[in-house]
Amino acid sequence: MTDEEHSKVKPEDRLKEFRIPLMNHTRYFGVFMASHSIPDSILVLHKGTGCKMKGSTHIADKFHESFSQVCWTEVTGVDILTDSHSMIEDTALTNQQRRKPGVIAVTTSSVIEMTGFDMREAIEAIQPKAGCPLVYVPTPGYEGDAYDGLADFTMAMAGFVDWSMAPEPGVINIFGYPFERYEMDHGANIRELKRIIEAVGLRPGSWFFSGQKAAQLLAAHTGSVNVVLPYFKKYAAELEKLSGRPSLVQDLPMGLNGTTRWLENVSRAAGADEQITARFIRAEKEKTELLLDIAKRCIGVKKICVIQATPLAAGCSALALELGLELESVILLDFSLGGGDEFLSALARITGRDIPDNINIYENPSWSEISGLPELSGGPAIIISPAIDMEKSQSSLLNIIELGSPSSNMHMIYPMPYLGYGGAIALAQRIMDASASRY
Amino acid sequence: MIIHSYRDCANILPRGVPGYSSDRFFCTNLRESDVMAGSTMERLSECVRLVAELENPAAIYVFGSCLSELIGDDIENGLAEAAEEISMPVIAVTSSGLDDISPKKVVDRHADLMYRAASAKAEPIPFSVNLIGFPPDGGEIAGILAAAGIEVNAGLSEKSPMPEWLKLPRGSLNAVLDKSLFSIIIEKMKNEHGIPTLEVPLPIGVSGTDDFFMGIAAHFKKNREMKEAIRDKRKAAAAAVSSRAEEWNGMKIAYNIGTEREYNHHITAKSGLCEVGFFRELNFDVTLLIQGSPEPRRRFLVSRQLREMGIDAGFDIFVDNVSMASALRKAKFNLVYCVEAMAEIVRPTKVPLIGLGSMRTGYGGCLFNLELIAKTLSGRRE
Repeated sequence: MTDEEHSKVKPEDRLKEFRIPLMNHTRYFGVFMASHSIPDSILVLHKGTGCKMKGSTHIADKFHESFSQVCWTEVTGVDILTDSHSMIEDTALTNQQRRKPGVIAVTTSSVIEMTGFDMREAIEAIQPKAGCPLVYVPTPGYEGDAYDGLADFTMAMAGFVDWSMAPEPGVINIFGYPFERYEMDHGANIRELKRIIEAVGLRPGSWFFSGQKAAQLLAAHTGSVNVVLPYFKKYAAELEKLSGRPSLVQDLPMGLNGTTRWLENVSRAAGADEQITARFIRAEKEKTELLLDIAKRCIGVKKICVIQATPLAAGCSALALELGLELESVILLDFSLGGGDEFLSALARITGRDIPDNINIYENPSWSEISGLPELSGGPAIIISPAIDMEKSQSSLLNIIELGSPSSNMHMIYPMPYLGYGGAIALAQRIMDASASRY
Repeated sequence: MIIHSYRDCANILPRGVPGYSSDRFFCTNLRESDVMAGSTMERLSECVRLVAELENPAAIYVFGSCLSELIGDDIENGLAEAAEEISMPVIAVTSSGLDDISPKKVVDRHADLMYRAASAKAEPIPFSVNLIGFPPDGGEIAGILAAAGIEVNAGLSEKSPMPEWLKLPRGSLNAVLDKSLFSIIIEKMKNEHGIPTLEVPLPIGVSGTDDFFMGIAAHFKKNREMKEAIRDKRKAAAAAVSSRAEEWNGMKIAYNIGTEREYNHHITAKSGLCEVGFFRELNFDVTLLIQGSPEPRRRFLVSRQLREMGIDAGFDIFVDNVSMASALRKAKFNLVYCVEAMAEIVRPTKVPLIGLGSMRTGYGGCLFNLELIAKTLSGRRE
């Protein structure tokens, strides 16, 4: 944009550039989240002291404290000017000896990389002494988002799997599940997917990420098919090439139709028995449909607003449409997962139907840009959203179902999935509850 | 508040929590191209002007970052022109995350930033005190001081809003827990308004609370009035403490410091040791569990510091969070006083935990604390 063009932009629009979007995380948080999801990992930060809290501050996990898995070099301005290679080696190796991790994630800040410090070279030099994979992911702080970091880390870790070993028929790996916390929303999602996979005669292999330890993840060679969820889609082709196994790109298994479609595709790709699959799906659909029909009749509030990262937004919206709700506004909380176009495509795929053309879609706005929406100003609506920067006084007037990352106020001690058939029922229950609490 | 850095730096802010409103925060969201083109200060000036024009705040704080320091942006001087143009206080702070800074210095700088907006001339209120760095207590302290004829002008903790800081110049005495924690504003208030500063202990336990009130009273020569003001509340607390002290005599408590950076004033003050006296008053055998480097030089420094502070307690040093469990297992502790975040690490040791900062102040607080300790010891509370 030229100076002249720039001066013609309205001040309100120019200020938008400096506001903080609802989802502001960059790659670093994705790496932090991935490392947190591997219980025997440690994360080495070659960063200044100011960066230490940027991960743990945003993890809303009541069951698994995250800070203890992090160690840092606390590099200073003077260190940068001299040589900070040895700081990484000292920190990584000391913690390796003390904690015996299954994997060590390593990252640094843009400032250090801008000095010309060759982090990759430093890591390669340490790797032979490390005793476990050192997974290095660059995390520039000026581009990308947390889902980029999660995907980058996953791909880097896949590089440590010995894919030359033979796969086991019927075993499927999952790539690209953002396991943010060890609570019973994620726990129940994983359990539900295992249930439906096992019901059709398949076996779960390595799931990136699911709370599995590093050794289980590094045994991904046993999988014969890599199911790729949207958060890892950008690496699907690269993974296929690296692993020599097919990458099956799938939307999130959400809602009745979305789960059915997901399971049919996975079963087909992994060679499951067609009749067993069809029988199981028929029984599950029957049971789920019956319950969703009851939910439809009970939900008094008909408008819904979904605030989520694109794949989860599409999944939640799909269920909302199946429940006969009116989807007016969707706010997407990511920079990297395809935006409005991808949302609409995914929604059409998951529901298998035409999508209303009057949905307002906002791509990762700041709170001030959307705070005036009727759904967010007390108008009757169900809102499915993670904890965002909503004024407390305003949020107390709304019917919010807290779901997604981060869920700072909603913590789960009882299985409450949102994926799979069980997830469709559980989420419908939460929508019913939110509706009932107000009316 | 404007953070002058790339986008990720704004993630130091805890978001989605009560009291945080993202509308008040901005980031220059510097891109690699801004840095390469040398246009970072232009971007900051534009951000300052737009925030002033559209948000019209009382003041604009601008915080530097590792990046702005590395590329040599002089935000303190570079914004002078913009500040003049918008006729609004623009308080620019060099705040690189590359220089380690102690929590104590953070508290000191924070107080200074808040005070900078409050330095206008004001008529002092006689017999009034600024309580700086004490946790909110529900009104007991203000009530007792008022009964003795002393007014609380400002009660400041790390959570106090700006209007409370603006009252500072009207106090006739600053009462602080630790002079070194507020060194900048103490100096400024002395020079600009002639306000003296008195160091008093944290009003926790009976003797700590006695010393707190009597210290302030002595400054205003109101000892007699204060003795009368504290009499009734003190009596109940002293009886309860005395009874529990007999019951808990010799029990071992691990008092942990250094595990988490704390910015609560009363926990940061006096190296985190303000509450040791209370446990000693209850006849606990206190061992300090200090997280940090266990090298001999450090041990020597810790010993010296404890001697200087008049604290007679044994100590052990452990190197990192995960080593705390083995440090706890070394002695048969009855109780550990540490940050709640360590609960997961402490749980396998089966030593009951009381969260750092959960003690209350004042005579009324004493009764609460005794109940909390009793419940924790008996396993009725995790």
